[in-house]
Amino acid sequence: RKVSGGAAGLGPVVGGSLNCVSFSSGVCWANSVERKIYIPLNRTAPCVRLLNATHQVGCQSSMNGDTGVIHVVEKDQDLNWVLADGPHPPYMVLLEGELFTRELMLRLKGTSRVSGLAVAISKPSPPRGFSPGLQCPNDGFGVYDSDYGPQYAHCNWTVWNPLGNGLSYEDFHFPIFLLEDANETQVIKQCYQDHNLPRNGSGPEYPLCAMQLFAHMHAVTNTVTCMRRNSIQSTFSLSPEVVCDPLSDSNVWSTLKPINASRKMDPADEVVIVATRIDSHSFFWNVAPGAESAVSSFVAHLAAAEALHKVPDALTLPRNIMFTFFQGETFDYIGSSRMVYDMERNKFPVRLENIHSFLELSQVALRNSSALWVHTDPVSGRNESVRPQVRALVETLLNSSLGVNVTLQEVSQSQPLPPSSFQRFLRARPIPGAVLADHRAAFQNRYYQSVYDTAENILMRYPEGLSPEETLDYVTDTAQSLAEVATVVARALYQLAGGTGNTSAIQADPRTVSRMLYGFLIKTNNSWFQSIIKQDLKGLLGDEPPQHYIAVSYPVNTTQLVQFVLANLTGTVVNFTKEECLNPERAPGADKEMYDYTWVQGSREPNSTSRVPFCVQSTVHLTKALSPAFELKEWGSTEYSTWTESRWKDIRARIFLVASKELEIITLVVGIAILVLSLLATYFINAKAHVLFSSPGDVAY
Amino acid sequence: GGFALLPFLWLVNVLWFCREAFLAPAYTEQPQIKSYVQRSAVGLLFWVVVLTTWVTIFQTHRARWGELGDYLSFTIPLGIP
Repeated sequence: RKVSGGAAGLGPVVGGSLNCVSFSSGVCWANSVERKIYIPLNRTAPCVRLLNATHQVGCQSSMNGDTGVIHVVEKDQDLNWVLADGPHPPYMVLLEGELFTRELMLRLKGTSRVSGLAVAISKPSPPRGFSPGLQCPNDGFGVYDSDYGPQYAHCNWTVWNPLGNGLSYEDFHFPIFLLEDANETQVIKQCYQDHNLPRNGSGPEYPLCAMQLFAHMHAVTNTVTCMRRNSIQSTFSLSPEVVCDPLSDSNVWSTLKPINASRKMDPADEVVIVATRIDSHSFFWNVAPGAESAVSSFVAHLAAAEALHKVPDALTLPRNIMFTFFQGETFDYIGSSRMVYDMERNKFPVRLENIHSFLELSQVALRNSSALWVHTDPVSGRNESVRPQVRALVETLLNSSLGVNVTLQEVSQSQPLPPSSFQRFLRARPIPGAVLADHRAAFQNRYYQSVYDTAENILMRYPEGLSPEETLDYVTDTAQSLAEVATVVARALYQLAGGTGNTSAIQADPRTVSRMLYGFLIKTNNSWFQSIIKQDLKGLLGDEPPQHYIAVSYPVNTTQLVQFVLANLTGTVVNFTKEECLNPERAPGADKEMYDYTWVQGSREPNSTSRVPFCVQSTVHLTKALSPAFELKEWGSTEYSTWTESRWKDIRARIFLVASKELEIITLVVGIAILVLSLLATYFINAKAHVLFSSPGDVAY
Repeated sequence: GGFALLPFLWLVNVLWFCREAFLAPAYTEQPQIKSYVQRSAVGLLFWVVVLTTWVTIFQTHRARWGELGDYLSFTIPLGIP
């Protein structure tokens, strides 16, 4: 997170503008000189430092930025110049996306001839796959350990993400930036070709094209150290400076039947939980498209929620259904571990004992010949009381896929669960449950937690020449397939909740799925999202593909958008005025304990610029997704997530031409010589003034 | 002045009265001043040695001390251990 200096930040701005007025030829002119010297790179994403209980990962630059002569590396052999032959170290390497591998990065890490790295995003995505995540995601924080299924611990049985090279979890002592814009990459390459290209075997002549990267991180060592420094600084120091913040946000949840959110559920009541994660990650800060790893599954989840709310007997089902969207699961299950923690301590309306069963949607968009795999836990499956319930759950799922283009299959019962929020619930209590995924063993996703996990990865293709409105509603094959998954989930949930009616009428809407995919993957600033959010939150909509990084500010765009979409799909429009909607205790017939009321801006009328706002009544709630480690101040916890993000002051990148060291020194020496000379001259002229400027009478014409 | 914890006063003492104690023509109070200046110089030297040693140890070992190092620091540097 960027350090936001309140008064301190204001100082230089005011000072600067004053300087501009009083010495207009000074500062303002200097700015224009700066513009002539430097070309700023605006479309970049940095790698920042994250910390956990034991390690620091990510990148670090020196406080004044790291500078080096640019060298473009397009193939492996180009690296020899950087590592051995080049006469002007240190180098700034401009790396093609395909070469961004663990092996090459470790070679760069082992040398002092590299001062930084700029990675050009590769288009199309690397065909061999790329995942900077771990081969065994969230290892040590799931359910399997030396006491619980020791043969499954540390992915001994199945390596879930075999393509994972773990780059996101390496520590680099130089800055690394992502170049998101091909035009800017081209500008740098042009500068390189004009100035830095080795000619006739000998090194290039000065001036050379150089790049400077600023990404100085304040936190260091690990979370224990940085949180301790935060607390010391806040108690002793005169100018407290926070160095890191815990990754945290909010979980979104709602129930099919409204429940009193401020009271505890009756122990006799049962609830079926359906869950997905809503966050992702990549090597670079706030670049987390997560199409397959998060978006596809939570979109299917939302579609299932909508389908269930349309069922006529939804409110009379024997069991309730809870739709749960966990934030921060990428970082050792922040959201789910917090919800379990709250449930155990009776700080959540639902207790662990109320949970009848648990259904999780893992990655579901890349189904191979329509197969969807049911994963269950082999360890709790051996428990006599849980086993029949798990079998019944699986049977229900298999029945629900009849008549839908989804082939549900069960994986071997001796295979452990893939990384999932459900594992955090199993740690607390043997709950019957299943995880649905498009993979049998290793992930289908070849770009897990990377910048390439985009709409293209889940094969979303639109025909040419559609207007934005048409694109929003266009049902792609991906949307169709996810709607089928959502249908299966909705039907299974209906039966799990005790519904006995005909399930063939329960159907997820492919058009809603299309709209959600468009909104969460391509552009949030679309007419549908505009119509369902609060007016003062217009700013969170943008034209760029949205990112789903948990971050440290609260709440992030994804959380809010999931909240509004869920409210829109499952809520009802009530006839309240704005005043009543914002203060439901004054509205007749409103129940503030059971429902949430949102005043949304509504859609634009045709041929008009005004909108028709309305009030939505829903059961959507937000609860904190901050790791319990920080509630308990156990910063070295091995039980709960301890991820923090360092703070920084300045992150930017720029290129410019550098002169040789000799020329710089000569310029400086000449400058000093002229200064001394002029001082001497002034002194002597002053001393001999009577000779030089004699009075007019003395001058002989 | 200059009891136990005032090395800076001793420093001033030594510099200010040096000329008076050693270079000025002899006068009756000079031996007394001389002894004070000498004792101040010894005290100063002692403090210089102690402080230099401590600062050296602190600067080289602060990062290794971890928690203790942080609690002994008034300002903690950003971005380094």
